[in-house]
Amino acid sequence: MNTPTPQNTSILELRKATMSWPRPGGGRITAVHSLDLAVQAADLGVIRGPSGSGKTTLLLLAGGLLQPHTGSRIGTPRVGFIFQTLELLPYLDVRQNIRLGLSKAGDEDDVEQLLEELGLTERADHRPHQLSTGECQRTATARALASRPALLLADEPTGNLDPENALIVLRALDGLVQRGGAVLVATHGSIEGLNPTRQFTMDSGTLSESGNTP
Amino acid sequence: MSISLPTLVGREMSLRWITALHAVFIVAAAVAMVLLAEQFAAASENATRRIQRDIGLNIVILPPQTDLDAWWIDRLPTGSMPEAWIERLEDQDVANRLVPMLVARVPVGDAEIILTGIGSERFKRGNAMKPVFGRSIEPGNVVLGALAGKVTGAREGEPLVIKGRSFTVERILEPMGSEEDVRCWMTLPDAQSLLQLEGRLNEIRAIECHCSEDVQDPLEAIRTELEPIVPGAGIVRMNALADARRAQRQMAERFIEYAIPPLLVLAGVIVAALALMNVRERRNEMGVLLAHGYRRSTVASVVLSRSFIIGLVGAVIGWVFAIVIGDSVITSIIGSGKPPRLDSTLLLATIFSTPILCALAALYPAIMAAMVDPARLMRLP
Repeated sequence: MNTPTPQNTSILELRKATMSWPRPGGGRITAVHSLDLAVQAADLGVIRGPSGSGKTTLLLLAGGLLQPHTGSRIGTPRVGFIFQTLELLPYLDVRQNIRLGLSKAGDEDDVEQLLEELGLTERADHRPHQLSTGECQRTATARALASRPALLLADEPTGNLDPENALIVLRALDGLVQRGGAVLVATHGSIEGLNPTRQFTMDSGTLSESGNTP
Repeated sequence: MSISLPTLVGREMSLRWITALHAVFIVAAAVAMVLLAEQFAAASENATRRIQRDIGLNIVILPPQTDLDAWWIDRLPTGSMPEAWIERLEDQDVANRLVPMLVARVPVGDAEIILTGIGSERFKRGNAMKPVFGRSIEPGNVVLGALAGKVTGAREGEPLVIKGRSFTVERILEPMGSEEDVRCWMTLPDAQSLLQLEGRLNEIRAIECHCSEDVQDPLEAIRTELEPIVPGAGIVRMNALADARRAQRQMAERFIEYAIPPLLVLAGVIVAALALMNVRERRNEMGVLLAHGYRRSTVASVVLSRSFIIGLVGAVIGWVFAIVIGDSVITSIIGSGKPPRLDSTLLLATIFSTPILCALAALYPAIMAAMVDPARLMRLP
């Protein structure tokens, strides 16, 4: 696969981004409040926080699936998603689900490489209902990587995975970072085996960076 | 597009084939019903023709100064009118299937028969239709009603002398239980020659046109339109026959009028509802496609294509279904006669239009699919 070129400048910035959701029964609840985030190439960031703290909203803003009510999003990197619920298309087999992520038709070599990298070659012709949870997670990861993203956003990418499968997924994410891509991972707990370069904490819609790991 | 539209649609339908099959069967049933209704209408029209043929033509145009009281007693016209009137009568809207006739009571041996010269059927406004009433008789031949054959002692294929001229008996009809039984049919020119009334008629029979069905006084409406064309002519409308025909035709027309549109609307609503349910079930899938760079128009096309395919398959199945069971169903309803074959133009139109109508029915669900917010994928764990 081609590798994104590492750069020192930010590939994506959120400036004073605020986002709120309708509250059941009326009113609105602020999910993220005046949030600043600058993501650079080869960043491997982990965003920790309890459920409802605004992690997912942050990923949606970063991925451009939501526009902030106030503030701005600067930069349009190619984004890949690993959804918490995976969202594999049930009628496509593993190979086709991964192909879904191709940014342009024709990169069949990438698909075969990702099948091999994530240990899915033997399962390439299986449909999601024929896969284990770990295999589904790996397929979703491969699909996200197939788009050759400059920024990969992952929501609980190793949740409910056994250590062996978790390691395969994390290795794939790390591989993207090694090629110069940036990864933002949202989790409510800790992810063993992941060596983030940046660590964030979300609390009641406020993001704070707790430290950098070189 | 990394996965093609046909692949997305085909794979999804193969996975959820049961729901797709439901929609296909609904479309097939609707198509079959429409085709059967059309076949029923055509069969009903044929039945009308048969009934009318059996009960006779219900409008009689008689020569001017005809004594209608006397005509009602013996059904024999007095006087005559120009044969050219039949052509003038093509230019009106209340009487169709005009049959020129020359009728006279003539002796044959010791018996009497009703000699009836009959010409070709004419149509209003010159519109060609399948002739029903005109009898095909060769010049020089006669066709005899059952009683006429009996009282004259005639036999098929043998000569019969009428007013000193020999005719060949082409056919002797089965008893019909009407005045037809005492008639002797021949061509109009033969009758005109025999009666020395060349270029003359004394009776024109016709079918009341259904354009007068909504008027309060059909006879008045018929007279108003025909009298300027054939001044002074006696115009008779046989009410019982006309009403029977009108009722029969109205029954078929009302069936089509009331049954088909609601059926089509119902089928469309069901197809749309199934498409909407399908889209609601697949909102996350639509979100995945959008999140992976598929255009909203492509996502809408997935839904529209699915409905199009359902419409196409349903139309073909409904088409086959109508052909297979059509004859037996229509025969059961109409009660007699072989029903007409389904119109091939209608069949082709059904095959082409049904997928388009199904796609149109899925338009709103397609818009719903295209409007899915991909952000929902992360907001709904």
